[in-house]
Amino acid sequence: MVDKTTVTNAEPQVWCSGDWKTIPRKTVPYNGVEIVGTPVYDDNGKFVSADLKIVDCTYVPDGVASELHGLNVGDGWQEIPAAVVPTSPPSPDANFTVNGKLQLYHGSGSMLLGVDFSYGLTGQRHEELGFIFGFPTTIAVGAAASGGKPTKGR
Amino acid sequence: MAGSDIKLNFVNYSNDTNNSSIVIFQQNVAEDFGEIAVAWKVIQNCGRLDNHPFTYPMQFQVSAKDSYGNFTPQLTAYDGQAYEMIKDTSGDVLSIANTPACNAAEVEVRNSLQQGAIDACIFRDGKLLATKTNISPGQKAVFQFHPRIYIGVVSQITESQIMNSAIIQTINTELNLFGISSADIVMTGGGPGPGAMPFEFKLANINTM
Repeated sequence: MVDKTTVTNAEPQVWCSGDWKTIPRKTVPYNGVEIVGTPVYDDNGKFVSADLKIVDCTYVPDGVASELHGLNVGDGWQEIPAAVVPTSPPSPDANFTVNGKLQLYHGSGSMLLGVDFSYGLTGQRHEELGFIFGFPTTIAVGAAASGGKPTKGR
Repeated sequence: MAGSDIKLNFVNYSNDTNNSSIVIFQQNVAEDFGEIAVAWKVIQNCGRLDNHPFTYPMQFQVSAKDSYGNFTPQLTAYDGQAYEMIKDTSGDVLSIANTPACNAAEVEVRNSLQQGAIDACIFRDGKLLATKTNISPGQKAVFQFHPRIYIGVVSQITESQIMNSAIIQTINTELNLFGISSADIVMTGGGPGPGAMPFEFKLANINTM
C-alpha cells in the first residue's frame, strides 16, 4: 500500500482563467476562476494523485470553493463537485457557477490536468478547454520538502 | 517562451450556413483583460467538414513602427527582455535594451526616442498578435502571453484588425495549450431554423509534449 502522506510537499500549481483580474471588479462578475492543484507523492517520490481546489469568484469576490481530492490518471473525467453551504444538512451553494469536469493525463514527464468546464453569469458563460498545468511524475525525495508557495501554471 | 510549435487543426463539423468566419486571438495578460485584442487568425470560407491546419509557434516576435511609418525588422522576443526604439546614425532602430524588463515573464518595448511616438507590435507566426499604439518618448509597452487562445465565430473581422471589448465579450471559449503538441479544434452547432444550436468548440485528437 502506498503511503500518500509521506511526501506532499511538491509545489502546488495555480491557474487562473483568462478573465482573472488582480483587483476584482466592483460588480458581478467580480472575477474569474482559480484552480489550485496540490500533488501527492509516495515514499519514492512517484506521483500518486492530486488534490484540487476550484475557486469561483463570479458572485463572491473572495470566491466560493469546491474541492476534489485524490484525482489520479486512471480516474478518467471527474465531475467538478458543487460547492456547498456549510449548513446542516449542507446544501449546494448557488454562487458556485462552475459546471464541468477534470481529468489527469499522463504526459511525457508530467501529469497534465485537463479541463472542460464553463462558468460565469447566465448568458455570458465562459468555456475552458485543454490542459492548464502539469505535475512532475517524480520528484527527488527530500529535495522538494520546501512547502514553497504556489506557482502559477502557465 | 521557448519550445516546440503547436500544430492545431480546425475542423468544421458545424451546421453553419452563413459561411461564418472563425477568429482566434490572444490576450496580452500584462494589460487589462477584455479591453482590446487583435484578430490574430481569421479562418474564412472553411466549409462544413473542411479543416484548416495552422501552427501556433511558442515564440513570438517584436517590432516597432515610428511616427514616420517605418517598421523595424521583427526580432524574436524572449521573456524578461526589453527592447527600445532609439535613433542611430541610420535612423530609428529597435534594439535590445541594456536593462531587462521589470518582470522576468514580460517583454517590454520602450520608446527611447527624443521625440515622436511609436507603436509596439507583437507577431506570432508572422501575423500581428498584439499592439500598443502611440507610445510617447519615455513610455513603454508591456507584453505577456499565456499559452492560451480564444476562439469564436464572428462576422466582418479581418486578420490584424483590432477588436473592441464588445466583440471580445462575445468570444468566450478559451483553449489552454499547456503541454499540447498537436490537437484538433472541432466546431459544432450552428445551423438554420428553430433547430439551430449555439456554436461549440472542443479539443480532440490531443497529443501531448
